[in-house]
Amino acid sequence: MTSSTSNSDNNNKKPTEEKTNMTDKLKDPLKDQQVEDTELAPLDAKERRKVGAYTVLFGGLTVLLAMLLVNGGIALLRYQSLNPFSIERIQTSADKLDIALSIPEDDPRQVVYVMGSSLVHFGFSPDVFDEYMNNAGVPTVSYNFGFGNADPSIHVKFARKLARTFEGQPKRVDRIIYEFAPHGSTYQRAATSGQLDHATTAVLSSWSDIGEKLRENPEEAFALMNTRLFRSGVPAEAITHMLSMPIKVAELDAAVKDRPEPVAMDNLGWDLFHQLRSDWPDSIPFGGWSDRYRGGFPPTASPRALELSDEVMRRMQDPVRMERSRQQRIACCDMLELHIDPQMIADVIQTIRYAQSVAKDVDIVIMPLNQDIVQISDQGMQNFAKALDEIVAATGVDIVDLYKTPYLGVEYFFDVDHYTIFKGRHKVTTLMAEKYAESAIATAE
Amino acid sequence: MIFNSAIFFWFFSSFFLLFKFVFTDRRKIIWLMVISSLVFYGTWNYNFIILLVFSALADYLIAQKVEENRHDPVLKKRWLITSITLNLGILAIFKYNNFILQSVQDFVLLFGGHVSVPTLSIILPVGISFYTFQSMSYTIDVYRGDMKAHRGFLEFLATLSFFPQLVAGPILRAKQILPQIVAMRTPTTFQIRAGMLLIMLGLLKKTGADMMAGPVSYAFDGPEPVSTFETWTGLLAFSAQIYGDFSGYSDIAIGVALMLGIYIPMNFNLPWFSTSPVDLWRRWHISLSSWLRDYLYISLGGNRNGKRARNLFLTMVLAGLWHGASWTFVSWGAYMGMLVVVTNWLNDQAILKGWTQSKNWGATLIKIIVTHYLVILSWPLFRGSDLATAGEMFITMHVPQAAEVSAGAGIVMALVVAGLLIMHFVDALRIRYGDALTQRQWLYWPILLVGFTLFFTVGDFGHDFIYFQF
Repeated sequence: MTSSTSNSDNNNKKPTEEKTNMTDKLKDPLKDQQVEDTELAPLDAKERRKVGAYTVLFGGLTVLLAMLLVNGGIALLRYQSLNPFSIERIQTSADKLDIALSIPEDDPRQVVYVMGSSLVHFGFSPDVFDEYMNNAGVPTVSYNFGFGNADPSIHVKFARKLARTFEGQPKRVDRIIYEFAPHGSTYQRAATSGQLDHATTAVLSSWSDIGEKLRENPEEAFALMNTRLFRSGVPAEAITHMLSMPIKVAELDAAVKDRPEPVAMDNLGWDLFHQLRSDWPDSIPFGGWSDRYRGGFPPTASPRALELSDEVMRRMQDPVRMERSRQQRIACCDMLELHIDPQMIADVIQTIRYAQSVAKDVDIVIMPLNQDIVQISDQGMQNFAKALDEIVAATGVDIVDLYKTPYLGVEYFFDVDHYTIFKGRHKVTTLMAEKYAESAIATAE
Repeated sequence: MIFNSAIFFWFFSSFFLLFKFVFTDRRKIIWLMVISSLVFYGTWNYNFIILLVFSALADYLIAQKVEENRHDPVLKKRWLITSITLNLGILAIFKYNNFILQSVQDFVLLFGGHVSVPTLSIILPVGISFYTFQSMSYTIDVYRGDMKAHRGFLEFLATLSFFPQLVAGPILRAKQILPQIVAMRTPTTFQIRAGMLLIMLGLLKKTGADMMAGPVSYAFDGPEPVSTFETWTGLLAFSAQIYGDFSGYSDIAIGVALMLGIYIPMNFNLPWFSTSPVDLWRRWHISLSSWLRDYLYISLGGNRNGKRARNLFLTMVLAGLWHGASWTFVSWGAYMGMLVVVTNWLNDQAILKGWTQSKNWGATLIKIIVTHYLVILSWPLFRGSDLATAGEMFITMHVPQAAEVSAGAGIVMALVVAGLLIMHFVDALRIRYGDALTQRQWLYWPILLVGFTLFFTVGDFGHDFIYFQF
């Protein structure tokens, strides 16, 4: 091949470990790049392949090892921490969605799925609920599908997965109780769902969803595939988000001026975590989903764990710490004014519709509010009521409203909105069971 | 398709396998490069592939005409003017149309008149400022006799559309890269390793830059009044962000090209360690500043006829305009031009010679700080939405504001300064010891492994690079 442009006859030079003035050339590539009329030497295919193989082998191995290290780190964090990226509980729950199909059709028990946020995860005990219902003469088997940090934009993807799981199957689920948390549906809250949104899309989408995404946004589709296949469902943003949390929390804490320091925790929280992990080997870490406890936690634990729990909860309920928690919830979720995002309501409605395609009956539950600490404004209550009206009008669901009745005080909460793992969880689950037992008995009569 | 995305990883991996293992014939490899580059470009908007090919074809043909008429200065010049008009015309239509129309309207309004000029809704093709400059330089080089017109459109198109540098530079000249594309030299394993090191460092710098987005956005885009302290935090963060983002992109581009056996010039040389505005422009976006020097400043007359100041100033104003179609960028260019002119004037004054030539570390540090302060003063123009906002920001920087400092501001400032310094020190280490490291494989591979692990751990995939908009 003849060309008017050529610069060298060193095409066939063997790659060398000599330094070859690399830095100089990077700085001044004009050097020795003259246009000449010479015959170009044929390419040395063998040499090209040799260098290619070197690159693929060493470069590829390095990238692969780096990915393995990242995945190893993720696995380690998952084992040692409590739901560190929020996605692990969603991932494992999604794999268990078809659990109702394993229950024989002639089993007389009512199958109940309870879906929602961390309020359900920490506040609903399938064991307590089922025991109450069984004692009330309504044999029931219930499952906890609540997970932390998820808002309706995440729930809707989970519910879509649920609907797909049951597509073409008999309606084996008798009831889905979907928890609606108003402060999880505000504009402020919506702004924070970014990284979990990507992770849940990666984990809960079907391959055809991702294929469709490939047509409209190839970059996003590849990123989803990458997260799903090579990062255990944990995008880099989730890790950055986790690492930045101490700074964000410090910023939020510092937002309240001249405030006394709360009672020190003295590492008791981690002592309790490790004790519970040894007491409940099937249920820990909290990020997972245990078949044995149907997604919840056991109703009780060892005396040491109970003792630790009492002390941890007491210190968590310290007024200074509660105020800090309240401020954080106001900052992140507009907890008092409740300016609800219409997109979130649309997602709630779609979630319910998916649920309705699966279960014979779908209800919404509003979990109890920490009324000693949180006083929703009048405008907030109006916003909330309006959102609920919209949801009911669109879906026709019943509402089980435990928001303010009965009055629950701070002794049932370990922070501004989460229930203590023994007393609070038992109380809230019993309140739910009472409502459903009453309603089931009334229907039977 | 951006370098820090999963899709680019798979794109480049596939390309590399085909490039090295499947195609062994030079012509087929060139075809592969052209098609891959057009696919790379087309992922943004495939309609603009036509514009890119048209631009290449036009300059390819015009350069031949220039060469054919090399003995007829008038005709030769006419062909050159055709090329320049065409390239600048493309830029005017796709990048500057609304700016020009709006400015005409505002100008008429200034004199009490009224004219309603409809603005056009034309999408800005990504990388247009880079490839038109590159294409134009080819014709100018042929006109000046610095290179011969190339025969072989495919190779020329492969050069102009070479994907590592297509959308955000560095701005290459045909005489730098065309011979390399044609020669298709096999890189050494040393060069492969040097390329991978640059890619890794580029990805880490981009990650650092992304982490600066929060304080930058707070200072520039926040709806509420921002305190003086946080304004400075945001401005310093912008220094780190734009450096990490753009130099990171350049490093990746250079690294990717190096893995294919193509040398691309270094585009940054520790710019925030510059000791004067003149020094800064020798270290920042070197491919643009050298392009402007060679094709604009020298064409304007350079430092001949005692018009150095005028020519420098004009060159810098146009450098500002190159960055964006708005008066803020023009003002930024004018400000930079003024700094360069004043620095030259001061250098010429005997009284300051001792100071400017001092190598004392204390004096050097002061010069670095003063230079960076002058650069920071320009960020409200460069990043701000309009001149009024830039003016307000300038006041906030120097007059303490009533706005309350938000919680954690000190931590954020510390992180920003640390990020800014780390990026530069890592680059300084790479420039000084990069070759030595690349030769010591027992040290090189573990460092590469740690670097990629860090990137995969916290790298924010898919964030656009700032310079794409230019």
